[in-house]
Amino acid sequence: MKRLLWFIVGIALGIGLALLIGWQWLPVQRADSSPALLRRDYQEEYLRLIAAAYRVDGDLARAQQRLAELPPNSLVNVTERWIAQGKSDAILIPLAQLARDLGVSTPAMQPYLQRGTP
Amino acid sequence: MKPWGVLIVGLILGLAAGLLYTWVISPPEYYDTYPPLLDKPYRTDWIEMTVLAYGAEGNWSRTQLRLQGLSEAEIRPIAAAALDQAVAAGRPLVILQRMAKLAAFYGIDTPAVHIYTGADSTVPTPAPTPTAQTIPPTSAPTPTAIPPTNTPFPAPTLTVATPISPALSEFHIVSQTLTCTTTPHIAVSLVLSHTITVRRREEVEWLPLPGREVWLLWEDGADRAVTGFNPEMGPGYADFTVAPGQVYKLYIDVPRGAPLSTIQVEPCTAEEGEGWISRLLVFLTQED
Repeated sequence: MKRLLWFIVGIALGIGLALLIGWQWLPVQRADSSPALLRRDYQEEYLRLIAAAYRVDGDLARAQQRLAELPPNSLVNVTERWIAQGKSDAILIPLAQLARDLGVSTPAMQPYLQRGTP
Repeated sequence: MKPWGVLIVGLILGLAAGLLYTWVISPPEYYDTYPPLLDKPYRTDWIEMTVLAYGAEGNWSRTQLRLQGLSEAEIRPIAAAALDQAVAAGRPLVILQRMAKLAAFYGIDTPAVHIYTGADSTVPTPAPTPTAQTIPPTSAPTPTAIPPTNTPFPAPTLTVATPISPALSEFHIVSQTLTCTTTPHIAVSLVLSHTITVRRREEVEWLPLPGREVWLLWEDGADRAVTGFNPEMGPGYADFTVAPGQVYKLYIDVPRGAPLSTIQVEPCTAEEGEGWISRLLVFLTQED
């Protein structure tokens, strides 16, 4: 009986230690997350990359596919927020152009579309 | 078994079961992750977009930040493929040059990288040659690229081109480097793609072409320079100071027919600051 008690105590300690190790101290880091799980600043960077890549390769379907991995309306929300924050044309023009090509341009984006026209 | 023995067996079993659960069955779900933790297809996408974005933006420090934590072994093939695709798609030269620069930084050694980094041409000095018997670098714009010698070359067999050769193909631009300067200039570097045979193996080396005339024509004037009069820049180099806003037509040897390039001296972008775009154009010709 006493041995069984020791055994149960051992198992309980082992499990407790394993939870600490497995979830806290040494959690397994699987490289299997999606862009939607990126930290917010990385998600915004992802958005910038989509717009910049689209500017080079002109592949709208691919850009759309990439945008689908981010939370809905990310492109418009981030672009409008950055316009309000006064980010540079170099950042905003590709985003506004991508939004326009996807048929979602807004009045705030118009000046950037005009500036981006060669 | 003693009680402490039973305790240790229980501890080990509990630990094993607990780790199986926390690492395999129910690992923590991450949010607020960063690019190296993306699933492989997304990571590939991230790297490819970063390479393209560098081509478009040319922002080196941002590119390095974007690629931070990703392994070079993973970046290399993706960057090489992105450059090859961009070349095949005929993307603008400045984009290809930037992409090639990034690829070269990661140790990619493909023909596209060579051509668009101008590795053999933007620093227009002769490439190291296989043996001491090959062509020595010349710094003066003399009409011959190799000093006369009475000693015959046994091997390797060299096909030596003289600077003015009737058997050269047309020049074409292989790279263009843009810089923002207060006084704009147009610089030209002429290079001959030259095939040598070393122990029955053909190798291509790029040689600067001294003593060639380069012409700039504009609406009401013309200017001429001869390559090689600026030895520290290389024997194939010549440059012109140009006027902002003016459109120039560039010719090599004879200012007739279609120009090799038409260049307008444009202002720098707001990001680059005040000044005018200066260009270094590398023209390549081949032995026919």
